[in-house]
Amino acid sequence: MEESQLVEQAKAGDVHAFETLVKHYQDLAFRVAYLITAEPDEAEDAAQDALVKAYYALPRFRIGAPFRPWLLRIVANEAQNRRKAAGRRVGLALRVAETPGSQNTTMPIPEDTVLANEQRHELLAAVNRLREEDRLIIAYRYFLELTESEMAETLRCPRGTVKSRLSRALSRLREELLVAPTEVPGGSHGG
Amino acid sequence: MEDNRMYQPTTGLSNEDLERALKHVGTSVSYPPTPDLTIGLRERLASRPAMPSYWWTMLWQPRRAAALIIIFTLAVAFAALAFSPEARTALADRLGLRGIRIWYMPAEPAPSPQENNTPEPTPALAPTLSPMGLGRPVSPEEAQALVSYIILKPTAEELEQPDETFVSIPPDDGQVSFLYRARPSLPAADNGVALLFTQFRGDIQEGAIFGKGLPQGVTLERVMVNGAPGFWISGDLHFFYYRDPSGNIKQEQVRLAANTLLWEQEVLTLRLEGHLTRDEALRIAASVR
Repeated sequence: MEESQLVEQAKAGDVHAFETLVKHYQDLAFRVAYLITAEPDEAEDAAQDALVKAYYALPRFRIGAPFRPWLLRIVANEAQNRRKAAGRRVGLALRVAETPGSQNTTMPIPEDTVLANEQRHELLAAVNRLREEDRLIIAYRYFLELTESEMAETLRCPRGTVKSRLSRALSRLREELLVAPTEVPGGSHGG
Repeated sequence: MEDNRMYQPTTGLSNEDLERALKHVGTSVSYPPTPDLTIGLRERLASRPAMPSYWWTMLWQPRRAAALIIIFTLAVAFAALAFSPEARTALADRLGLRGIRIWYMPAEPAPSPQENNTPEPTPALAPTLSPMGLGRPVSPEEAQALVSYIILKPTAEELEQPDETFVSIPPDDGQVSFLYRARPSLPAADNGVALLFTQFRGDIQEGAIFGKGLPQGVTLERVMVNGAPGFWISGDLHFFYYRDPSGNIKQEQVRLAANTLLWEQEVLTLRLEGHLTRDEALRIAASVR
C-alpha cells in the first residue's frame, strides 16, 4: 500500500496503518534518537514517546507533505528535550561495525568507494571528535542519507541554512583530519 | 573482514571523495539494534484518549483555525458596533488611548468537559474553540500527548486538578492553559475564572517583553521564582513579548484583566493570571513542578 494511503488511514484513527508506517521508519527514527541521546535505552524511550505524539499530531499533518521528515522532526525534538531535561552533554562515540555494510544494507556500495579499513576508522574518529551539531548534521546527511530538504524539516531551519551548516561541518572535519590524522587502529572495532 | 586495499590518508581526499567516503563510512557504522517500537506503541496508544473527530481535524488546521478566528472576531466586532452604542464608545476610547486594539472577554468561561459514562464523543473533542482564545479543550493527558515538552503544573493542594485544560497551536510546540474556577482560598472574578496558568516554549527578555514600555497604570516588580528571575505585573496588562525556540520575537496576549506573574522554568515561559496578591502568586508558583 502507498505511504500516502497509510497516512490517510492513520489520520482517520487506523492504528494498524500507523504501525505499518512505524515499522517502515523505526530503524531511522531510533537512529536519529540515538545520535542525539547517545544512550540506547534513552533513544528507545524518546522514539516511543515521539511516535505517540506523532500519532496524536496526525490530524495536523498535511496530506501530500513528506511523512518521513515530519516524523523525524518529532523524534529529534523529543530526543533533544529528553537530553536537555537530563542536563548532560552527549558523549557519543560512533564505531565501525565488524563487517562493513552489515549495519545498513540499503545502499549498494560501488567498488570504487570502498575504503580501506584504516580510513574508515580514521574518518569516524574525526567525526566523533566534532562538536555535537557538526556531528549530527554530518550523520543526518551521510550516515542516515537524509536529503537536504528532509534535513531542513528535521532541523527546523531553511534549506540554505542546512547547506551552510553542512559546509562548515565538513570544513571542521577536514581540520580534525589534519590535526590528528595518524591514530589508526590496528584491530577491528565492533559496536 | 580483512580489507587489503592500500591505506591512503584521509587528509588527501578531494571534497567529492570526502563526501563519498563519509557515505561509505555510514554503511558500516555500528548502531545498537533497533527495538520493535510497535510493541510499546500499542500499549501507550491504548492508554491515551480517542483520536480527534474528522470535523475537529478539519478545523484544527492552523490556517483554517486562524481564518475562522478572524471571521468570528470580525463578526462579533461588527455586531457589537452595529447594535451597541457602548461598544462604539469603548472602541473610540481604545483608539484614543492605545491604538487599534479590540478586546474581547467572555462573561463566562468555556463550559467544562462533562464527565460522561456513555460511549458518546465527549465535549472535550468537540470542534469548538475556547471563547478566551485558549485553544482546544482537552484532558490533561491529551494535552501532554499534543505538546513537545513536559507539562508543568501547580502542586499546591487546591490546584492539583484544573477545572479545564486547553491546548493551542500555534505556537509550534503548543501552548497549554489550565483554568481554575473559585476555590476556598481563591475567589473567582466576574467571569467565573479564579486563575489561569499558561505555559509555552520560549524565553522572556527583560528589555523586550513590554515592547515600547509598560501600559499606563501597570507596575512591574522583579521577583525570584524557583531560583529564576521573573516579573510580578500589577494592573491591566494586555500583552507582552517573548522569544520562541527559533529566536523569533512573538506577541502573547494576557487573557484575564488581572495581575500577572511571568517567569521562566526549564525550557518554558510560565504565566499565572488572576486576582492574586504578589505573595499568593509566588506561593502558587513555588509549587509548580
